[in-house]
Amino acid sequence: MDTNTIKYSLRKYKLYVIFGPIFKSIEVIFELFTPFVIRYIIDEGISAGLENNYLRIIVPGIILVLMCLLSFGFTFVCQYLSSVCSQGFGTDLRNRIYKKIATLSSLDLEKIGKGNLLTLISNDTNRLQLGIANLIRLAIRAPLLVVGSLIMSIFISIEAFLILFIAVIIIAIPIILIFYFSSRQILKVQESIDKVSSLSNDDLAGARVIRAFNKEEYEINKFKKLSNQYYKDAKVNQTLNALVNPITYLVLNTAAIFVVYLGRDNIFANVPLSAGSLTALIQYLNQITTALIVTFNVVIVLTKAQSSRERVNDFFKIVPSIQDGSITNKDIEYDENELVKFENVSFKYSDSEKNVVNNLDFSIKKGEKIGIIGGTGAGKTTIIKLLERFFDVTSGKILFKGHDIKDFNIKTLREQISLVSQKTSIFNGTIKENVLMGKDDISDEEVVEALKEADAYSFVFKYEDNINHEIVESGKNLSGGQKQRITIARALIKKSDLLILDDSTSALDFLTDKKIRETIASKKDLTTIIISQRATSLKECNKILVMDKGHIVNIGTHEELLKNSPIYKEIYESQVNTHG
Amino acid sequence: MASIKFLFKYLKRDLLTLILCVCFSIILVISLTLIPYFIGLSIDQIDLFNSGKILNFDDFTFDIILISLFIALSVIFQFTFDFLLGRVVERVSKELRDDLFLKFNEVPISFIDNHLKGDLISRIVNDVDNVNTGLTSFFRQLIIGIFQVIIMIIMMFYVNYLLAIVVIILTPFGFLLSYIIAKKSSKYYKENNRFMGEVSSNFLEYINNIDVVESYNYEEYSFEKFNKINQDLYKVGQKAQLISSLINPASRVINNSITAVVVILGAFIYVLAFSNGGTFLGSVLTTGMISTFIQYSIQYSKPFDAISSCVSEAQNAYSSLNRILYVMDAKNDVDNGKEVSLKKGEIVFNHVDFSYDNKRKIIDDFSLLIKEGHKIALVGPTGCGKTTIINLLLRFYDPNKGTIDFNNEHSVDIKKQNIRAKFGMVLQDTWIFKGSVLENIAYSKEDATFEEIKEAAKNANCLDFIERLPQGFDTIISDNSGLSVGEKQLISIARVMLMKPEILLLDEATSNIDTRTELKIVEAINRLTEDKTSIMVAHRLSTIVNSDYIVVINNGKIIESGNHKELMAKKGFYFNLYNAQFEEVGIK
Repeated sequence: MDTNTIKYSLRKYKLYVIFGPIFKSIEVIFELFTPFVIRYIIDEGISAGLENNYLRIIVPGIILVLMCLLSFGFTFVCQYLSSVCSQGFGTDLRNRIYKKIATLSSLDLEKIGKGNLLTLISNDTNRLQLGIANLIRLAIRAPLLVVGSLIMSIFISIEAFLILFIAVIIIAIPIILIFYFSSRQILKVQESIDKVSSLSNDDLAGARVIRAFNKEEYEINKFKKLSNQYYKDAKVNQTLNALVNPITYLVLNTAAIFVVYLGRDNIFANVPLSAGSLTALIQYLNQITTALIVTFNVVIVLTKAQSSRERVNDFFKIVPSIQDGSITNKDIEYDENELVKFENVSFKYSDSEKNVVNNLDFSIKKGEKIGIIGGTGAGKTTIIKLLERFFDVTSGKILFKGHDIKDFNIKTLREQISLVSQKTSIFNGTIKENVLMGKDDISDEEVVEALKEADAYSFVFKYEDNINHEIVESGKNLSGGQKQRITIARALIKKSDLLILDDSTSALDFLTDKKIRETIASKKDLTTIIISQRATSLKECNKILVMDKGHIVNIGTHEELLKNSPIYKEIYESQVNTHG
Repeated sequence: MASIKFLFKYLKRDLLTLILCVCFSIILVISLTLIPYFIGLSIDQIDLFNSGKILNFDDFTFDIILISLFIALSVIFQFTFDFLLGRVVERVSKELRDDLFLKFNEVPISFIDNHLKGDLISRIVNDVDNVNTGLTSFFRQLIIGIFQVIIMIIMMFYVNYLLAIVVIILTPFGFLLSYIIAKKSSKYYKENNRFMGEVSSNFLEYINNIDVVESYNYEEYSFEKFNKINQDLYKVGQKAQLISSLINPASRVINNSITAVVVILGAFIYVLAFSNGGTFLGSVLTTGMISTFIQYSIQYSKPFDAISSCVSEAQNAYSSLNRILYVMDAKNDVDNGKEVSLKKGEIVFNHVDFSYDNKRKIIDDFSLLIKEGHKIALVGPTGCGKTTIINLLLRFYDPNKGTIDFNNEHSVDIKKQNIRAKFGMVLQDTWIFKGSVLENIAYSKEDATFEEIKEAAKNANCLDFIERLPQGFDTIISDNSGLSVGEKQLISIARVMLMKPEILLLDEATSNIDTRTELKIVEAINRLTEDKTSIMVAHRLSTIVNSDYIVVINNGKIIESGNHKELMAKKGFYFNLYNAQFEEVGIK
C-alpha cells in the first residue's frame, strides 16, 4: 500500500470499514420491514381479531418490538466499530504527520506555513476522522433507506413506487441546489465575519494610535462597511435555508395525496390499495424524506473531508529538500587546520532572485574562536543554517572535517555541532529534560556541571526540586536570560566538535556574558563560532568576519578591523562612542 | 432582566414583524398537524367505499381539497416565518456589532487597557453570534415547539384518548434516555477538547522549535512525548464518539417501540370497539385514524428534542447578552474640553499627580516645562512612569491633581482631538493594521501623494525593505504577516514622518532595531525634529545624549534634569545609569 496517502492510516482497520456498514445495513433492513409488519397488523390482524383470533395482532406486534431492540443491537456494534476505526485512524494520521515533519527542514515548513501545519494535525485530521465515522455510520444507512423504501414500495404496487420515485427526484433537485449554493454562501459569510473580527482586533490593538490620529470616525465607517457586507451575506444564506423546509413539506405531502388516491383508483391493476398499504406507503414517504436530508448532510461532510484529504495527501507527498548522505563515522581523520571550510558559497531562496549570502570563502581551524558581526539581514544566521544543513547551498561547497557536508548522514553531522540559536527554544518538561534533550547516558552531576558552566545553576539551585524543576508554557516562568543560559548548558553537554552561539547572550548582563565567554574560551579544543551584534563580545576572537548585505567584507582580529574595516568601526563606535 | 430589556430595545423596531411571525407559526403548526388527520380521514373514506358502506367519494374529495389547502398554508407560512425571522435576527446582530464597535471607540483607553483584547473581540464576534442563535431558536424551536406540543395533544385526545395517554406517558422515556446519553457524551467531549488542546500545543512547540529539535536529534524522543498525549486523546475521543453516536439510535429505538405499541393497541381498540358494538371504554378507532396516530406518535417527540436544545442555546445567549451589555454599559470617555485652536508654544506640567488604580502613585508632584522647539528626553528605570507622561500628554488619562498646560490653557479644558492633532507618536508596541504598506503609512495623512509617502518611507529608512517586498508598497501586511519587529517599527516611523506633526512623541521607538539602523533612524528623526518640539522616552542612553534637556525620573518624580554634560558632571543617578549601560556594551 502507498505509504504516502491518508489511506495508509486505515491499514489496521480494513475489517472495521467492511463490517461497520454491514451491521448498519442489517438495522436498515429491520427498519424497512417495520411498515410491512404494520400493514399486516392493520389489514390481516384486525380482520382476524374481529373473528377473535388475536394471534395475528400479538405475534407481529412482538416481532415489531423485537425488531426495534435487535436493530439497536446491530447499530451499537456498528457505532462501536466506527468509533474505534475513525479515532484510531485519526490517531495514526496525527502520528504520521508528526513524524513526517521531522524529515523536513524549517525552510520546508515555512513554505507550508506553521498555521497550515497546525490545521493539518487538528482541523484536517478531525474532519477526516469525522468523514470516516460518517462513511461507516451514515453513508450506507441513509441512501440504503431511500433505495430500500423505494424497493419495498414496489411490493405494494408499481404505481406507489413511481409516485415515491418521482417525489425523491422532485425533492432532491432543489435541495441539492440549495445545499450547493448555501455551502458556497457559508464560505462568504465566514470570510466576512473573519474580516469583522480582524478589524476589531486592529481597532483594539491600535486604540492609542487611532485616537492620537483622531481616526475614530474613519475606523467606525470602515467597520460599518464590513458589518454591512456580513449582514448582506448572512441574509442571503438565511433565505436559502428558509427554502429547505417548505420545499420538503410541499413535495412530501403532495406525494401523500397521490398515494391516498391509489386507494381509490388503481389505474393499472384496478385493485385499490388497502388501508394498511396506504399507511405503510406514507411511512416510507416519511423515511425517504428524512433519509434524503441526512444523505445531503453526509455529502457535505464528505466534501469537506475531501479537501482535507487532498491537503494531507499533498503534505505526505512533499519531498524533503535536504537529502541524506552516507557518512556515519564521527571520528574520521581530517586536517585539523580545516574543521570547517566554506568554498565560494552562495545561497538564495528558491522563490527569490537575490542571493542572501554571496561567495563566502573562509575556513575555521580546530580550536579556533570565530566571531561574526553585521547588521540585521547581513546573512550571519544564514551561514549557520547552511552549516547545519537546514538548507543547502545554491552554489559552492561547505566542507566539514574535509568532507562535503552533503555526504554526511544528517544526524551524524548534527551530532558534531552544538547550536545555541538566537531564539531560545525551551520545551515543556523539567530543566533536566531541557538540557539533556533525550540523551539518557548522562548523570545528574554532569547536568549540574553544564548548568554551572552556563551560569544557569545560580538560579536552578534555588528551586526546591533543583534540576527536576518543571518548566511550563515554553518557559513563561523564566526570564529571557535564564532561558538563554539553559540553552547554552544544553549545547555544552552535547560535547560536540563545534559550538555555535548565534546571538545567544543578548539577554544576559555584561558580567554573565563575560563569564560564559571565558568558560568557553578555556575549552581549548572546542571550536566556537560566536555571532553577535555587540562588537565587545567578539573582541577576544581569533578572527572576526564582518558581514554586510550577504558579503563578508572584512576578516581579521578586533584591532586589525578597527584599522581597516569602516563598517566594523561604525558598529563598534555606535555601541561605545556615545557622541556618534 | 436588564439584558432582556436591552435586547428588547433592538427588537422593538420589528415588534410587529415578530408578532406576525408568532401568528404565522400558529397557522403553520395547525396546518402541519391537520394534514395527517385528513389523510387518515380520506383513508377511512376509501375503506368505507371499498366495504360498500358509502357509495360516493364526495367527502373524500372534500378531504383532499382541505389537505391541499393545508399544504399550501404550511408551505407559505413556513417560508415567510423563516424569512422574516431571519431578517429581524440578522438586523439585530448587525446593529449589536455596530454599536459594540462604536463603543470600543468611545470608552476611555483605560477600559481597553484593563480588558483582554481577545475577550473583547469574542464579544463582538462570538457573543453576538450566540444571541443570534438564541433568538432564532427561541422563535423557531421554543415557540413553534410549544405550539406543536399543545396542538398535537389536543388532536391526539380528539382522535383517541386511550392512545393519546399511552403516547404522552411513554414519550418522556426516550427523551430521558437521550438526555442521559447526551450529558455523558458532553463530559467526554470536554475531555476530548482538553486533550486536543494538549496535542495542538505540543505540536506547536515542536514546529516552532523544529531547528533545535533537528539539530539535537531530538525527533524520536519528542515523538514519544507526543504519542503519549495522542494515545490519551484516542481513548477519550473513541468513548466520546461512541456515546454521542448512540443518541440517535437510542431515541429511535424508543420512538419505534412507541409506534409498535400504538399499532398493537390501536388494532386491539379497533377490534374490541367493533365487538362491543361501536366503542371501547368510550373511544372509537378506524384504520385511517391508526395511520394518523402513527404519524403523531413519530412527530410528537420531535418538539421536545427541539425545546431541549433551545434551552441550552437560550442559556448561552443570555450569558452572551450580559457580556455584550457589560461593554455597552461602560462609561464613555468624557471630554469637557472646548474647541481651541492651539498655537505653537510651551507645555507645562504643573505639580501633576497620577495613579491608575488610586492606590499607587505613578506620577508624584511632577513639574516640567517643555519649551517650544526643545528636544526633551525622559530617562529612568522600567516602571518609573515615563510612558504615563505620554498617556497624560495625549489625554488618554487625565491627571488626578495638578494641571498640564498648553499655552497656559489647562489640558482638560481643551478638546482631546485638538491636543492629539498636534502630536505624532511612535509607540513601544507598533501598530500595523491589515492593509497595504501604502495604506499603513498614509494612515496619518489620507490625501498624501505617492511621492510624499515614498519620501517618508525613505526618511524612515524603510524604502529599501519595502521595495524588496513581493508587491512593494501594495503588499498587504498585518500585525502577524511576517514583518520583523524592527520593520514594523520603521513603518510606524514612516507614518509619523509623513504626518509632519508639530510635536513628536517617541516611546522607546527604536528599541528593537539593531544599533546601526537605529543610528540612521536617529539621524532621520533629528532631521525631522529640527525646530520642532520632541519628547523621547529611551532605554538606550546613546540615542538621547543630544537632547536639549534630559529628565531623569524615578518613582514618578523628577530626580535630576539638565543636558547630558550637566548631568554627567553631577555624578548622580544619571551618571550611574549611563555607566551601567557602558558596562553592558563592554567598556569599563
